[in-house]
Amino acid sequence: MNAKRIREYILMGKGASFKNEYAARDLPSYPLYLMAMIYVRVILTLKTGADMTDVIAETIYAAIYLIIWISQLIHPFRMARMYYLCPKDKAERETDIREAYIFRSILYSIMIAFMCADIYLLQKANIWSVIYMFISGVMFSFLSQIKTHKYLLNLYVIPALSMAPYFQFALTSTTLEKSDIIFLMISYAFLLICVVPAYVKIMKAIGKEIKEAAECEEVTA
Amino acid sequence: MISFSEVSKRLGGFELKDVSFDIPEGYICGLVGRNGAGKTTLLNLILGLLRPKSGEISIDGMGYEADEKNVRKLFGCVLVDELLIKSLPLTENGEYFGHYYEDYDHEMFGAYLKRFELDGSKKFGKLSKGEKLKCQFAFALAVKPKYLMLDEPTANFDPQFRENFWKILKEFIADGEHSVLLATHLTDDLDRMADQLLYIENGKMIFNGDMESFRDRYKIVSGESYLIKGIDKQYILGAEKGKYSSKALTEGKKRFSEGLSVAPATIEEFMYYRSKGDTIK
Repeated sequence: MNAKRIREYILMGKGASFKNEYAARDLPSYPLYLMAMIYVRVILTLKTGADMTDVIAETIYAAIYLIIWISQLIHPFRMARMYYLCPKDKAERETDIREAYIFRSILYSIMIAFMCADIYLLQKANIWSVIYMFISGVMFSFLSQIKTHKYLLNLYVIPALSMAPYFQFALTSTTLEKSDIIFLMISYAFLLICVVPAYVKIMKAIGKEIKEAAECEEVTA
Repeated sequence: MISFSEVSKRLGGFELKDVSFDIPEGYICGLVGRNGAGKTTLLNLILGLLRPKSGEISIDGMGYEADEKNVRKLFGCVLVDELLIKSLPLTENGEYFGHYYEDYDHEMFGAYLKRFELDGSKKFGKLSKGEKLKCQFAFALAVKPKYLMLDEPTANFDPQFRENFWKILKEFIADGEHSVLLATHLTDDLDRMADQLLYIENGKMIFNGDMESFRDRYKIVSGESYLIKGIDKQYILGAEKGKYSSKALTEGKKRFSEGLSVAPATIEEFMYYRSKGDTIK
């Protein structure tokens, strides 16, 4: 992180059009899905008899994801038009855009890391669940900046819906049965076998979006 | 020199077809055409915001494919889009984008802002449309370009500033090393000030040459309708029948009947009568 990247992050966010970027995503209802997931988690938290501080904490965690999503919309890969008129060649623009993307991803990952540390230190979940949350949070930080969100359906919706009750139990339990630990190990294996190829595909798609953003929009038309 | 050779580009339902022209140094070149004729497409091709489907674009012997960075250094531009960052004050906008340009002169930018009566501490987004264009014009001059590309800037300038604007353009090309390409609908100014004219219609270049050639080639002929009707049709580009007399736009005709009044066509008359067609039967 350097001062130039931080300044660009702040300036470019103010220049971007939230409305246009929202419309450009192929899954604009993504935040609704996110909110629905968090709502389910909050309800389950209440049903397990946890107190309101847990609900407030869950809401804050949801807010962190929402802030990240909004930040992604107002910091698209494509730069302001004036930038494409300045004396830079395509390779330099690609480097700039890639570095800005990595900067943003690291910034979001730091926010996720603080959230996970808070969860662990307040003993809201065991270490394995926190590690899972951190890994998926970092994946979210890097991968959800892509415009085509259809891959994310495969990555998050299906495993989330199928395993939500178990994860909820694991997140709120401080002592796990052996069977629960085995189940968590299986879920990690599921991630590696089924989801990593999708992650690779998304990383390639992000690489392609960065290359396209290095040219003025009209050039690629 | 900016050189186009048989350049074509298709954008949706619009096509720029086989456009060729040269803009040498030391010229103010007017780019004229009706709405949707292709002026902005042409400017975007010159600025490298579009790539041609076919043909060759050369800027001082360089092309965008091989030498993009050096080509972009040559241009300063004022476009219809608001190019600068709305949330930044004018001077900070200059510093932010100016650091990409080797020859950017921040003091010159400040001096132009003062000359244009703009407050450098004001945010770009808070300016009126005309003030934004003035600020972009100041920045375009401060990067010390070889070529100024201006897309419809004058429509939003007040009459006092418009004189100042033309004075600056004359100063800019005075050394014979710089050129200006100005796309505008205000053809009166071009009639007075432009050295070269590019007239584009439906994606085709209709006229490309100096203003002297334009005035020599295109004439407005007025007189009795029967005299106008007597002119060979091959020379008439457009005509209009009035109550007592008629007018026609002719191309290439040198001699006319007695009783006809002949004057060089202005750009506006040229555009008007071309659109009318020959309505004198």
